[in-house]
Amino acid sequence: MNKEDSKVQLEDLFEVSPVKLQVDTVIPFDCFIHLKLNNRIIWWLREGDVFTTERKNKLLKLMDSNLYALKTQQKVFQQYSEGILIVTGRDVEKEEPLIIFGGKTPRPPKTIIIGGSGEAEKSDKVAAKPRFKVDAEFINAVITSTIEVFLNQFSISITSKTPTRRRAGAKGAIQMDIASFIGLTSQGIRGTIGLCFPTDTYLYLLREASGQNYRVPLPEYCLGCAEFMNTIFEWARPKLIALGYNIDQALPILVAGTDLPVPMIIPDPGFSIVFESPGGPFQFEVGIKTGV
Amino acid sequence: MLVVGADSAAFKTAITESCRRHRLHTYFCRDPMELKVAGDAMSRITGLFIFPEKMTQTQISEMTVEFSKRNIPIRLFSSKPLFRSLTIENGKIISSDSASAVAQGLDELLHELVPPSLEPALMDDANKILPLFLEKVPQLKTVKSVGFDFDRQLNFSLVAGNIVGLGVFRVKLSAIDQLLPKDKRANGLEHFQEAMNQWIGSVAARMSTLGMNAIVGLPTWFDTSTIPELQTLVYFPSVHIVADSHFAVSVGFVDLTGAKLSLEGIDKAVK
Repeated sequence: MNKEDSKVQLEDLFEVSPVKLQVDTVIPFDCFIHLKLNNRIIWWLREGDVFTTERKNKLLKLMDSNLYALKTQQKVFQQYSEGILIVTGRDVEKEEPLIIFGGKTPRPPKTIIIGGSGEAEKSDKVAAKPRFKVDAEFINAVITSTIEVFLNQFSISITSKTPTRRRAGAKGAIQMDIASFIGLTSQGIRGTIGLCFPTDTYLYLLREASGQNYRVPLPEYCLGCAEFMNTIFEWARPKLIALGYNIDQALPILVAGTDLPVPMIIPDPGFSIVFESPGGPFQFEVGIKTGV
Repeated sequence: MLVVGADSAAFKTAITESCRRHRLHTYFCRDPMELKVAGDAMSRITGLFIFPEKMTQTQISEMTVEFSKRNIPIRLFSSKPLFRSLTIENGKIISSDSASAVAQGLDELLHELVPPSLEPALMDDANKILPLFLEKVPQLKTVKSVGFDFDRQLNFSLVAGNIVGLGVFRVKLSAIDQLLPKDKRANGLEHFQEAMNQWIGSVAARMSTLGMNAIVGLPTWFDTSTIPELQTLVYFPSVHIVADSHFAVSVGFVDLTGAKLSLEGIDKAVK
């Protein structure tokens, strides 16, 4: 993906005016550089300050460290917060300087939300036909989103196995110890999705994502599981809406314990998707009450 | 919840324990400047506790301004009187270093976040719905937080656009025999679930009359004997209602845009 492609995609999702930040220009808005999982601020650029060569070099150095998800081809690090969208990146081939996009509010997906939550939103495209059933496209959007989040946000390459049908109450082959769940609601679909990890896999992913040396799954470290889930959900939702699944917003619930009773937490039938990471397998569960 | 400068062990223990009682995550910052630019953590911050050890008045003022802009409530604790000219918008200064003062300060801070009209609405609905399901309706009262000594937990999500709600029902298994009619005890948890479904549903109906198209998600049961810790990614400022020691219901909402939620008029909304 080249720089122009990247711009088009970002502008498609966010109402932004791309700003190319050049040396010796004034920084147009505050920029925060921090670890994704524990929110530890590493450094920041203050609005009104001059973007000096020193600042540029420091920022590029930070971005090039393995603390950030910058190893993909487009090298994009994305953060949306409190009315400020920051997307920093550098063109790998040309070694172009830093690019920053700034904006105020996320642009509503280019679909008309019919019913469900909120008013119908204005659109400049024809809305996708609303869908009321979970099908292959839904599952594929979940799979690609999960892979993209781990690759682009956390620089971890994962692969997925072929999704399998999950029967009501059936226990999976892998023991899950840390998991987060989101209740899905839309016009026609109600269900639960869960991101479930064995302890070893979770700690590996947390270490890779944060750059911190986590060895024991203390309760406060498990919050990262909900952050993973939230990121995947936020990544997948616009795609699902574009496909016609008008999934409502939601926040994950996090549970931790040895050998979690996932079939009890997600009792409904649906799909299981096993992902393989360098640190071991983990599983994405989709249980659907209505909309199969 | 975000805590700055609590490098006193006593303060740290006090704030950690108080937050745990509310099932609230805490973030301890080492550096006030780190907090000042807390980036996207802002959207997850419920309130701010400051223990201004070695901080200047300017540092405190700068920090509090950032949070006042975002309508995040603040508590400033100090064991000794602070700068006379220091005022905090959206917050209070508490000159005490006791654990009970920290706990009380946290309780008050969290209580500020709960829409005042939510409690009478929930109580009103409970008084209408529970007698339909329970043989004996225990006395209901609101509390600041709910304990951990329950056997099962049922979670309901509730969503209306940017407003996301969480309804949590916690019950002791002994309540099945003590509160339900005999013919319902065999499927006691399902019976409780239906009662909660109607209770939460009536809250959603009230929201609809306020123009919020609320949808209730699937209920999820958790066995709290095998999963002792259930957490949410963000803190839901909630009304907590306990029914003697049999069960407890917590209902809270957050606005994902970060705006303070009022729900004004929900107590008067007609179903």
